[in-house]
Amino acid sequence: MNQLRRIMVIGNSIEAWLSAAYLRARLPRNDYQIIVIETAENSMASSHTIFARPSSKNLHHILDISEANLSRVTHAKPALCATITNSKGAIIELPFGQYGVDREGTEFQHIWKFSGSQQPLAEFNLALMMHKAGLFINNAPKGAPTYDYGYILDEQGYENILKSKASTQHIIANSLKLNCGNKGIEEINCNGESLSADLYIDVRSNDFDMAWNHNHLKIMGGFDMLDHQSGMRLYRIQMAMERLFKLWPDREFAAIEIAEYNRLEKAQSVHINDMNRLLQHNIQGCSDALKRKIRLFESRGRIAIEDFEIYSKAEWIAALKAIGISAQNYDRLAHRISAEAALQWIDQLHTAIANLVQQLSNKNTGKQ
Amino acid sequence: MEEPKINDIIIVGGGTAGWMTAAGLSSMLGKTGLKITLIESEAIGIVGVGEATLPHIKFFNESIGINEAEFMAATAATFKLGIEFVNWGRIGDSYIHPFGEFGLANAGIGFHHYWRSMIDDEATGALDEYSLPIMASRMAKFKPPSEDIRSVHSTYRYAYQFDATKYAPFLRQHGEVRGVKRIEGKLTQVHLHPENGDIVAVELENGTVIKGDLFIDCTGFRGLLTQGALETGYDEWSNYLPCDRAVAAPCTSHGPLLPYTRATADKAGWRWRIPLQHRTGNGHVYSSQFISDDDAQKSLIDNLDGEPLSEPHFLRFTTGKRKKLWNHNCISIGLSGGFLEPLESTSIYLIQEGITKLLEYFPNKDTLATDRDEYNLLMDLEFERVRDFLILHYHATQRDDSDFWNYMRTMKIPDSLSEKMELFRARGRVASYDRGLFLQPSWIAVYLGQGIIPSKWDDRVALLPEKDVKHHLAGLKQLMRQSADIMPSHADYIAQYCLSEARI
Repeated sequence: MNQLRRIMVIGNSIEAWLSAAYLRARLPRNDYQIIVIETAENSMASSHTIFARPSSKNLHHILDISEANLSRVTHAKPALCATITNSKGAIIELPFGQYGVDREGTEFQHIWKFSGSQQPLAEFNLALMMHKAGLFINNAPKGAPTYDYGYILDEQGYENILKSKASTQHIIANSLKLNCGNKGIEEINCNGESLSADLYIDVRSNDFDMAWNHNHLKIMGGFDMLDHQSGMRLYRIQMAMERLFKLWPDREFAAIEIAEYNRLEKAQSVHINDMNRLLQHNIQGCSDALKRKIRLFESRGRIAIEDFEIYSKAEWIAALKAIGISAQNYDRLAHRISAEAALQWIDQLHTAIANLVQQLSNKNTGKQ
Repeated sequence: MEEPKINDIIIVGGGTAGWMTAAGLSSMLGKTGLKITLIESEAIGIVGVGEATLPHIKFFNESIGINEAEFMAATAATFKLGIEFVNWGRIGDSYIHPFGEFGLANAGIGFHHYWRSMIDDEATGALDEYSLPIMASRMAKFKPPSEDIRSVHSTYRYAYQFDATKYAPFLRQHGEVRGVKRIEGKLTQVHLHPENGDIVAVELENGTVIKGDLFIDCTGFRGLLTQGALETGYDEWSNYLPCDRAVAAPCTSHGPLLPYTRATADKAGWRWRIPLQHRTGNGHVYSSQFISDDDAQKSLIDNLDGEPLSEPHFLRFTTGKRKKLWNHNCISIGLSGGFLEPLESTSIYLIQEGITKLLEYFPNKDTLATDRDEYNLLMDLEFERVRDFLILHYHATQRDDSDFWNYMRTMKIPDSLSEKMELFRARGRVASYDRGLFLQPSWIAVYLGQGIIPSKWDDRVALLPEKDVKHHLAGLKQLMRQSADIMPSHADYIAQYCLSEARI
């Protein structure tokens, strides 16, 4: 038989246990052995919380973690945006909801710009407005800008829940040596003992040229504060696991499948690096994709969408505006309504959003 | 400061591309003060590209407010659930590329992996048997898809097969109602700006000079603006797709009204067969390097289902695309922008994409360069991905019965395609892309239909007991057959929904 049977996850903390839990959820216990080799490295200076993007709902569905359970064990709080503090101390909020409401096939930001409204664009983002007021309701009322939400989770509680879901053998590695050859890992020496597996998933890496090489799959660990704040710490693992299962290998590790995985991984990394550069206000020498995004946005407030995009248009708009890049113009489609009617509509929407936030605040029912 | 708006748009050329563009722009931008003028000459015939379409056209028609039944009656249209490919992998083979899914994925593993694991079992049958649109096509049945996503009847989409010469006049009515100004006349000259080289105006045979801010070249293969005036240049792809001619001849209808287009591979190209309400459209796309015009015509006429309705009509083309689909202030839409043979009915789709992206990146005078670059980047990608998919049909063949097929089978193909094919051969994986026209089910249909059988399949299929997999397959097969069986016949549905006067 050529099937993988024994899989080792090497690393620690959320990264290792999330990987193990994911494997456990997708692979029958009787057919696959999953072992966590728990290493001693610190993944990052812990802030005691973990930030999860809205896509984590799908992850938790796969892991069979209900929202109620998540809330109970991790004191999960809903998050309507990712709040980033960059190395210069600036705070940037990336909303999980749209700016305003699109109308007649035209994105809101174009109508807003066309109308000449004096209200800041951010005040049309219900997710941001509720976040600022410390409010939360599950769904936007009809006609209001839509949004989604992620979570802020207690790190230890989350690790515990993942451990229980992984429910698998683990070895504390006081010493660990990977013996690598041309074909990935030949064996590992853990606490003086030789161990082997069919596939090694290594979540300790923070820099690598090739994510997957034969039986050695490296996933970017959460070593970076920006990754932590933007939810990429979990997201990278989630995406890596989804890719792995799309391309589930056997022990021959077909080069073409590994190349496909690495292609997808690289495309995703470019998006994350691009966003991180924006958040750090460091766009000198950036990728062509980011140059294109900046050029298009500056010109008319459009957001170029690439293959395997990670961030929503609203997140890109927030990040671009946060470093002072503004749209000089707007889409011609905005002219489908008159400037007067546009301004009137914009003002009504602004009032409606402000009133909704005020009502929630008065009732105190939506407090997070 | 006054906004440097584009106010005057001049479309040169009627036909499908010209009137689709006029209808699309007037519908979306008519209210914005944009003046749209379309210049065409009744003395110049239209190619009438694209009798067969893809499901996307439904969205286009809806977005410009076209009533489906009226449109279908006016253009003698039929419904289309897919494209049948005959003799492509080997002589005698037939498969349908459906507008829908195959089977049902299970535990995150694509259905075709289960099917592949069981192909040695006679009871498994062909992949086609697990697709509702294919089963309906084979039975000449049709009904619109259900909106209930739990229903198997929601697993497909549909397109149309219509008389392309009737589509442009139909759209003209819509465009003119929304303010498109039509000028009858023949273009004789294009005036360029002496400094920046942009098009300033076009001049007609009667001496009328028509100025504009933005020009759309819908003049067909000649590309009077983009090539004739701007000398944009052309990227030729004949090395990959050597067919360079077509001969077309409609014939009388024969047999049941089929809800699919047929593409039959011939010795040096392929023949299309498109059933309309009142006639059948036929044509033969071929490579003049490998077959003479006379032999191509003979093959077409010999294989007609009914009596010819007109003399055969020849076309010449060069496969490829303009180096810049948007050059200066001129956008090439339709045949002026490029030509990819209609094997997968992409001609109208590429027109539609040109219009959609123009609307998305509609410029101001001061942003034209940025909008143009983005438009070109996205449209180039569309063309290239369609090109690769077309090449697959020719290259993934075992045919060795003619010089043409020997060339196609052994030629060097783009790396982007060879990597995709290798990935599928290894274990039935389809390379992922978010953008591009053809998605996973389309690639699976053509790979498997043309005999690229993956050497392995997803290992995790083996986790299900074989008897359960067999049971799952048998149940799906039965479901597809029964679901197709209860549909009305395509002909009956057309008769009660959108019968054309041409047929009456």
